[in-house]
Amino acid sequence: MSVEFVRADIPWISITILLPLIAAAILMFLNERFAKPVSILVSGIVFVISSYMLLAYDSSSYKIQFYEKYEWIPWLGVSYEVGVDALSLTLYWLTALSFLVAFIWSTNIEKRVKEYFVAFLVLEAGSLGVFVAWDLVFFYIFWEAILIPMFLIIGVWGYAERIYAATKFFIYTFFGSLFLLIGVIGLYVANYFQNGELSTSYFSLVNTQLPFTIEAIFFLLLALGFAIKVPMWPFHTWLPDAHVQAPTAGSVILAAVLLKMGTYGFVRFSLPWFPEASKYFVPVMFVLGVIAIIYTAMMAIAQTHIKRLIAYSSVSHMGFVTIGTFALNDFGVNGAIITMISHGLTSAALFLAAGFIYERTHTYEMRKLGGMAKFVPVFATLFMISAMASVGLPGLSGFVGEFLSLLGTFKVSILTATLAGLSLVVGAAYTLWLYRKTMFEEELIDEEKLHKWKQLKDMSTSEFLSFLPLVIFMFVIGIYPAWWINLIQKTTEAILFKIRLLGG
Amino acid sequence: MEYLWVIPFSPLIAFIIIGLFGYKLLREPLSGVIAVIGVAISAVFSVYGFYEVSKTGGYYDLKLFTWMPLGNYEISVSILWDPLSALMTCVVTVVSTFIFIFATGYMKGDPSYPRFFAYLSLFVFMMLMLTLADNLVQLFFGWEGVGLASYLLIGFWHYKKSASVAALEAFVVNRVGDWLFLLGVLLTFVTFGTLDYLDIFNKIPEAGFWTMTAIALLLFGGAVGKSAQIPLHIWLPNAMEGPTPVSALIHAATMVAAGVYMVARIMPVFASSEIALDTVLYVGTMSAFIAATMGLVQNDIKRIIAYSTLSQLGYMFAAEGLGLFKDGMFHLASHAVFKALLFLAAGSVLVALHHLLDVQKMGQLRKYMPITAITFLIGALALAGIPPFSGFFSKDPIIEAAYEINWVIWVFLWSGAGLTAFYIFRLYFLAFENGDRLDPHLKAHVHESPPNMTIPLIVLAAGALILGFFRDFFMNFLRPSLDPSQMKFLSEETRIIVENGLERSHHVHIPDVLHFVIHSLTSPLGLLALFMALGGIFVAYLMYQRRVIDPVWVGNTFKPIYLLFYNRWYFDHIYYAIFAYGYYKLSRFMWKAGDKFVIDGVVNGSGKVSMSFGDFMRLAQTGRISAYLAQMAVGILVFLSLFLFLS
Repeated sequence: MSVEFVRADIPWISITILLPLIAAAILMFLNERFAKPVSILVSGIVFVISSYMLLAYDSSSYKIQFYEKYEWIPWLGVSYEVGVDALSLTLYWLTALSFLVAFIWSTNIEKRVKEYFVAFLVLEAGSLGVFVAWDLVFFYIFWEAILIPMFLIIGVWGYAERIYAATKFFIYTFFGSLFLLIGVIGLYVANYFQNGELSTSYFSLVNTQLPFTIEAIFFLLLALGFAIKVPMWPFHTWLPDAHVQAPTAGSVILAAVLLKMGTYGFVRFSLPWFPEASKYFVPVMFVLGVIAIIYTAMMAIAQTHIKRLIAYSSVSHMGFVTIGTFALNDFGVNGAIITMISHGLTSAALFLAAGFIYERTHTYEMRKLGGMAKFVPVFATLFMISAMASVGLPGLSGFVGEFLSLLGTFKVSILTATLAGLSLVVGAAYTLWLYRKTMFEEELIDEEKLHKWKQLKDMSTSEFLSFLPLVIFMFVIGIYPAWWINLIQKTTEAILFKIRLLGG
Repeated sequence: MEYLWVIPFSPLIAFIIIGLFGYKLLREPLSGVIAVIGVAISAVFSVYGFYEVSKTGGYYDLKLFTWMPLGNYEISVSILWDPLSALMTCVVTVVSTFIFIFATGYMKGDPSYPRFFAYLSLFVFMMLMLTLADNLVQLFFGWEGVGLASYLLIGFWHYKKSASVAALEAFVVNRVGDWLFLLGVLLTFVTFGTLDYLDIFNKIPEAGFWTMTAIALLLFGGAVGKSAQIPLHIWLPNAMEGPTPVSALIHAATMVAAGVYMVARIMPVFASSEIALDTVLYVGTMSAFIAATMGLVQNDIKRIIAYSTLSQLGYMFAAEGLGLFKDGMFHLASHAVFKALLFLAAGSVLVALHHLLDVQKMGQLRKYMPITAITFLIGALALAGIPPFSGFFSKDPIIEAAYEINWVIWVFLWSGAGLTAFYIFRLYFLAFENGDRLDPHLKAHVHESPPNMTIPLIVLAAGALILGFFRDFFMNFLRPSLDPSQMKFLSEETRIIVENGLERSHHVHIPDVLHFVIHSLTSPLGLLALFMALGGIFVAYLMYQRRVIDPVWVGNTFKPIYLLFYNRWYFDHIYYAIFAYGYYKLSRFMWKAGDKFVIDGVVNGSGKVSMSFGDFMRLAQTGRISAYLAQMAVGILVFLSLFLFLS
């Protein structure tokens, strides 16, 4: 199929990528007290622009919109090419939102304040870039560029074992990226041999027709890179370590944005580029997805560290994205995309909740907590809403994605959907367990703590303001999912176009 | 009929108002007043709607907005108003109104008073979304929503460990049922391409028998969870940790009956599979009997009534399994009234006795609380099925009809009726009559409850007294929704399937109340049922009032049976060992063995290996450009040859 492009009148996308970088550069020379306001301002502008794009996006047919293209290295076919379809746009918007939330939250940073915000601003630019880049060189640059600020955020502002976690995160994902790189280069070469065109553009590479064996190899190379990022079982062990050590805002970005890059990769590249291989590997992906959902849900309930529990729950939720994607039908892919957004909101909110608890009690150990609900009612309410969205209560965002993913999967494999559906039970178990152990059972805590809890301050304004948008959008998606589904429907059809042609 | 949208949204608005301003502005008692107003408005509108629909017997499908598009089908938020949903909605809103009023007294002085009424209003909204749905997904929305409200309200006093454990248990056990229900929804959609009830009904002939059976059984799985039938019943008795109005409203009158309502709502689906109907029948009968045996020996006043709820829900399911959907729904309505009454009366006792739950420590309360005692007695008589109270009219036909199909089922339902009469009168005699066992300190303060608590009791008691006389009215009223010959929206083919499915038992057709009573008092089956109930009461009287038979002696003589009942057939023990403790320990073990040892072992191990491999590879890093170029050339060659060979 030929793709239509709608060029941007104003280069909004480039502006949103450059703005954080410029701000980061300027901040280096300013006093550190400017760091936070400038960061909030910049990410606020980016969020407003991305929201405008979300509303202005024309979802009636499949077009790449807000499109910009500038040649860079013509003899290699590399150009700067950005634009959005609905998949890119929703994740781009989620990224903008998550960074705004993270910046508003980041109040009590004590060491290297300036560098902290600079690292986050660079990370924001890179993350936005990953979702909008259509040139693979730029995609890869953005993809790798985010590793460095994230490595620093965990390694510098993290907790006691931060160096181990940061290194594990870096090496593991970098290792995956190399396979991704090899796969992309291979496709680039193959495309040249076949079509005589040297181009790193997505729209050129998508035209390559590969023999099945080669396609399968390339699929696996890319899949390894993406699977580590998602992360899919059994490549997931870097994630709990990274989350446990990362500062709150770092965890928010890691869960809400970075994990989405892996699943984005599957939907964006694996499906349209390797339709036959995607189909061939469906059983493998289903098995891995189901293991992720059930096995990591069991891991989650075995934890006593709040953040480790939430980290495992992320892996479990990403399992839904995996099975939804590889259901290879409209429902499944729609479900996968909406689960990505919803998981971005809920996991961000849950990590904020963990941060809230830690800042007041200086522990993440569930065994040392409990009975807080009465003393911090506003927080308890928002935390409860987020927990419910996370367990997929209808009316909140989590349900929409899970329902569609399951529906898509059910059409292909009843067994997979049945097993994945068990997350209704096991997911509820660990999430409510977390809530109970932190918020309920006041009668079990000792006098000394009770005294301490009575002094607890409920949410501060900045905490409330960063929590609120997440909760609002959980409701927005949950109450009126029709708008979101209509937004992404044509994109989903375009992504599945080649798979449809295969028939069967 | 556009005004119908007010019914669900009035409690929602109350919820939002109380949720936002409850603590800051409204506090006590204004929060309660707003909640009462919210639900009373929907009660008024639903009664009016009930009246209108009783004239026409039609159905109105009001689509409010598209919730989720699914290909060619759109899930909408809607209001389906027909006799069945009208009856259920009226039961919910009217009973809720009186329970809300009662609660303004019961919750007096509780520091979380606004929160309580916010949750209650949320519950009513969700329950109405459930009853008014015209499709399975909206039903599921309400279904899960009432689950949330139930969770929040069971754990209302969450400072107590027991309450927070019970809340979690209720949610998770319900989720087991919801899992099956959701799979049923998915299978329905994949089979029919629609989730609207009426479209599903008319497409039934397209689906095969086994598909229909699978759909019905999966959806029934949800009902087993929500209506606390065996084997997913364990959460309900523990749910009594919630405040008593919650037990009355959610865990007796309305939410737990949602499963019964759901089965009736999609009656043609169940009627198209004999296996499904049989399953409903067996599960219902088993629950009716086993739960009654558990109720015999409990000492916690609320738990006794809770086991009775399990058992009565079993009767409703048994009725549906017998094909008597109208009887099942009528029993639901009559049970809602008398069970709410029993719980509220128990709540009135609890307030007077400062939350003393053990019936063995009560006694002679009738002297101090005459209104509570008499209304409780009326509720007990209704539950036991003594004429002319409502239970007699709603329960006896179910037992009688069972005889036609299967006498084993009849034996269980019939003896269950005796057990029912026994346990509720055991409770009555122990609490309100018999010896003086009250703690003297308590006795000094025992008093009758204030009017905002006793008036709801009186109203509900009046309901339990007169509702039975309207049996024929309700039966006829429900016809357009549940009688295939009068369900206008059914296609001819579906109608035949449904009629065949319901053939299994003949409705005991009795034209009016007088004949009903005469029939019961003259036919052998009717007399047997009546004697069973009276016998149960009489034995309770001998054992607990006159003390002619010593209960302790009975317990010792039949020790194994007593222990089996007392330990609730060991369901809780076994489930706890496997699904709570076992699951947790297994998870811990897998985390240590799987994630920590194997996976991380490989990851970190390969890290170490590559470190030493890196030391080795450093030898290749000669620093000479020509060497690097050579390496690159080799790499490209390998790549290309791979590509060329494989293509």
